[in-house]
Amino acid sequence: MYLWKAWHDCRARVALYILAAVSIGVLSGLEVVSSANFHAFLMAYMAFQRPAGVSLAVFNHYFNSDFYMYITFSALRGFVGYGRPLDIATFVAGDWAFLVAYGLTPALLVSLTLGTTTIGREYDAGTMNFVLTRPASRRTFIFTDWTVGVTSMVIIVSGLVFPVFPFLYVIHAKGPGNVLGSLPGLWVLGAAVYGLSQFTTLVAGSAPKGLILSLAAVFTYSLLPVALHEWWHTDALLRLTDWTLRPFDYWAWPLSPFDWGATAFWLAAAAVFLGLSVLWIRFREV
Amino acid sequence: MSYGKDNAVFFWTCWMRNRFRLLAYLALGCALVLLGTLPVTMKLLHDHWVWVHPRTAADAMDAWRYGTEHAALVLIFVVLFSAADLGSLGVGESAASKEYDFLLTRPRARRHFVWTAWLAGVTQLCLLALIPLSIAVITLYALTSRLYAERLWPLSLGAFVLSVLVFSGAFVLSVATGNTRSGSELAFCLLVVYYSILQVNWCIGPWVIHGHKIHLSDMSLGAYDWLLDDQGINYSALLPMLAATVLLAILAQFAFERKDL
Repeated sequence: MYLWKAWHDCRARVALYILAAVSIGVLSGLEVVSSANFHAFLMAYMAFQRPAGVSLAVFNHYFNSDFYMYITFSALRGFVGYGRPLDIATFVAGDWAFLVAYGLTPALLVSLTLGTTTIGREYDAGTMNFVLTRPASRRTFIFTDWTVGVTSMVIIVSGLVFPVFPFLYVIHAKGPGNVLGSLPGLWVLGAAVYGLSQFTTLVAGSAPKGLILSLAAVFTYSLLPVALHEWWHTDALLRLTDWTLRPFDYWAWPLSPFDWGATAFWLAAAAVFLGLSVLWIRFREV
Repeated sequence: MSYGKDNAVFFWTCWMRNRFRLLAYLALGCALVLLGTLPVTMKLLHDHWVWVHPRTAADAMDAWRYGTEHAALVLIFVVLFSAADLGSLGVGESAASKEYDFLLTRPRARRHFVWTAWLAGVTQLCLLALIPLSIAVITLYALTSRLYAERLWPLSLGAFVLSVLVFSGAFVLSVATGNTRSGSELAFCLLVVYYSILQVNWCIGPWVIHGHKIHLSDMSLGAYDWLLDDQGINYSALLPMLAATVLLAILAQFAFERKDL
């Protein structure tokens, strides 16, 4: 029964977010195609500019770009380059890494807002006494909220990323390669932020207050180490923060490998926040 | 009770409701300003960062320049964040706690409640801009024994104007939807979009996850691009911002006056 309530409370928001995520994903796919076309155009342009008497291999070496491509023009797809897999894949993976890096912002927003549609807001509405009369243990409410929220978040974040796949296959016959390495990291980071938001909403007993508190925590985590680095010349905290955010590092492209360490860190953070919420609701009076 | 005191009652209610938030934001703002301004006279001597009192006017001006940039970043961050929060709590929180039926039995026009709540929020934002700014000026003066605050005033003005606009946006959204959460969510989304657009424009990558790849000062001063040009304050940009702020407050008044209660 509470599962239905948890879903009912957030379904409109989830539907809106899925729609927005898929739209952004499709637009990003179109951008990737356009980017690949630009790459092909660039190659063609450089080939035309090759001075007479200089071989293509030497010319390419001079530009240090390690490409060897056939350029064709398709009325449907514009300039399209076919060549060694790594050439275009490397170029496209740069776009992909960019998308994953920016996917962090929607993942944070979705997790933060979904985390505030949890049981903690019942305190503010004055309905907590009634909810707790249901024949279920208190931790059941927390686990049910968490299951619904994190599943929704995973679907929404996937809705942002997977629509790009068909476009990657269109522009590169051998497939997009290992571009999904950083996606599990995004999911567990989302789960951790969801847990944070759920916990702060429960502690504050109000959705807006929970949102503010968790946003403040996210801003502090991301900006304080940078401020300490730039203003106080201390690097330790920044190095630690960077290590935890390594899977979303745009500058690590072409392909971000699956990062066990950082993923385990965020998984542990998600488990800690879930445990804190269970403890809080268990020992709180009403 | 005199008429003036009667008018001030709702202002006092709004003030009291958010006073702990205000104190928390003030504490945060002052702490961050100190974090940003204290290290501006630090120099690397023998592999250690130490405080060095500026001996020349040029050194002092350098310290003020860095301090101003750091304070500008802190100010815009603190006032925008608190503006989105305070704006969503204006009259919207009364809706959340089902106080409208009682509130509207008072012998006052509905617009009185809207404008009083708006004024209380703007007054709190004034304090949030002025007190950290004063801390910045005092700290920098204490560190350099000189006063070069001419850049700090327009930057503070820009942060304040932007924050009042965000406040009014969150205020009208929360009044229109009768929900504090909708107002704050939308206001924060707008802030994220604003900074994302700045990032895309600068082509310097996502600062949230890769702050050390950029300078924080770029981020802070970039937020004031709309206000400042080579000649100083760009009034042709400032006036539309103020007009939009007032327009949003008027929209909130219309929304509240036509609300079914």
